Amino acid sequence: MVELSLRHIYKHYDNADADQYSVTDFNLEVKDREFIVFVGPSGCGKSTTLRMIAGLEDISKGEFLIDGRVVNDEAPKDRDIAMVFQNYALYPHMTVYDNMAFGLKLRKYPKEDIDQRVQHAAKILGLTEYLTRKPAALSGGQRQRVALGRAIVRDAPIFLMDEPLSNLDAKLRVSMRAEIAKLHQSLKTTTIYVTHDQTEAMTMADRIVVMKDGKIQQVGTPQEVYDKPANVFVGGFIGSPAMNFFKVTLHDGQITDEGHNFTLQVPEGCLKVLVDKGYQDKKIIFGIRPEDIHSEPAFLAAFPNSVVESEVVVSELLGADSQLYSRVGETEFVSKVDARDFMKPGAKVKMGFDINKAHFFDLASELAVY
Amino acid sequence: MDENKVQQLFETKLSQDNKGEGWHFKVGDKWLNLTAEMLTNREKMLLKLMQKPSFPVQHSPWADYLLRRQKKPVSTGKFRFLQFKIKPLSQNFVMETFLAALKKMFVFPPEDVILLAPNRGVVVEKITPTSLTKEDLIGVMQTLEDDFECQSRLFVGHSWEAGDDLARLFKAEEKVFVTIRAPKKVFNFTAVSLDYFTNLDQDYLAQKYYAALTQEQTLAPMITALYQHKGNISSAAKALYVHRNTLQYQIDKLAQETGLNLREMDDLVFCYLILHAQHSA
Repeated sequence: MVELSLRHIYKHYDNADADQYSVTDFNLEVKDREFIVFVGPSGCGKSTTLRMIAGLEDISKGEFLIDGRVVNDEAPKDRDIAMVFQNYALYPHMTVYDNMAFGLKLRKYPKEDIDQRVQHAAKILGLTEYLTRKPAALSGGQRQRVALGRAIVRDAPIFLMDEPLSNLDAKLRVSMRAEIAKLHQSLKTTTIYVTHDQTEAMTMADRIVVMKDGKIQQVGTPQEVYDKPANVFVGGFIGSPAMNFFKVTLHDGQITDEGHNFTLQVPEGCLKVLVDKGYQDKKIIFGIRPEDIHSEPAFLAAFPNSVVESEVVVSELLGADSQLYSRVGETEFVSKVDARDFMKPGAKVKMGFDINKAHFFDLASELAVY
Repeated sequence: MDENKVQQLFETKLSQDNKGEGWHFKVGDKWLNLTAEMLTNREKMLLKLMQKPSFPVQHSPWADYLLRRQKKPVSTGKFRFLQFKIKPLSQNFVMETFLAALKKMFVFPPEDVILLAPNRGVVVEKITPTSLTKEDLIGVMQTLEDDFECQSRLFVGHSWEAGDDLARLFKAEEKVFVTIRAPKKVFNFTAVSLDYFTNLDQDYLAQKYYAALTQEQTLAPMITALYQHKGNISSAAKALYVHRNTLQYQIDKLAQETGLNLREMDDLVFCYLILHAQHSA
């Protein structure tokens, strides 16, 4: 059983300003066998945090514990962690077998032990028949599996993966995602996975850690971060296409945008919360997901107070759905509608905003208020 | 130093030469030669601490050329210098084994791998169609870091013709590598050229501009994203995960408050330069 604790972790680089941290007050408890995903834009500190866990970067402040043991000063090899990288290189003159065995040979594992581990990892990854081949004779997906195999042979209870799929083409990424998920089920390791791709995070994680500018924005299950984003950043980052945001004013039970291009009735339950929190006659950020904006006549007829008149800027047919990039006033927004509702650019269209699925955020702090 | 006092202290005569094992100290034009038997354990430990470990002189055609300006070992082809710095994280780290593994990462063996200091060296590589790209080299260093439990930095030099003054070019690139702050694990000169060529970290005016541009946390990422996306607001907004309108608002706000208009290329490059020159100080 392996549980990880990160308590008030900070990372400061010596050549940065005194008050500049790459990671700030990072706190997380990881349960045994959990698949945690750190997700966020480039430079948000997710890889730096992963490297601190691996022991490849020093922890400037705070404590990192493995099963209750503080390991800040323990060398990487003593933490019993295996790591898979985005840019992996295999030794071009070594066979698949030797590539997987090399790290163990350096650590002076017995020959029989090495052989057993390599054969076991090869079997899990479907590489047994490729063990005598060299990397040049492998496909991209097979090379990626060898990289995974190099980590599996370490038989470590903790796996760290730093954007391992980022260099693969889209189709291969999808299939490897499933492979990694299956691998996690079979190896039953505690895994921390870093990605900038929110689709990977949503499909693979038990829990997601959304990061920005070195700080945790939200921790939750994929459903939690999707349904209840903690702030504007999480709302806009998780979900594809991204959530739409409008600056509106709450007045008399309705919200109106800045250009007075639309007015929407706020449902009673939501209204009460907003008023109680002091947003009557105040500006607030109104967020709505593309799939909660409808163009079907039945919806428009059923909810006439939800209608917004807009103009289509771009229409993308995706097969079963269409994505409509529309404009109301100076603000652009995206809706996900049925493919049959494909519209030409310039078309005037009535869209129904499902206000029951709305999110509201404080204008100044951008934190969720409903 | 008083020769008589030294001889009294160590009860030994000074010698004309410093042959033999032990420790040798110049006293005037003579030598004080001390063997292990003449010293207490504490004195031996103190001498060992004070002694710097000697770094073996490297000899090979390329080492002799680059370090001692002897005959250039090549006359045709293109070459580059990959300079590396290693920080071992384990007591079991052995540089020779690391270098052997590093050489094995190349499809064609490099011309030479020369150790310049205990944890720093250079790979001399002839450019071929199979030469590794910067992205490939990131993978190489990460694999080696994982296998050898170390941290590394790699500077990818430019490709130079054999007819160029390669020794001088090597020295110039070496100066960049040892003096500049490495921005990433694997980097080349273009990544650090702005920092290297400007002295803006010393300038008062530049410092004031830097303070203005870092007053709000969002400004530096915004300037960097716009610079990296060649001033394209839509793609920069996408990279920042903000709406295009939001970015435009922030640009307008900066222009209003400082007069710096990030829609103008001169202003954008200037802001980027100020941020990065100060940051490397």
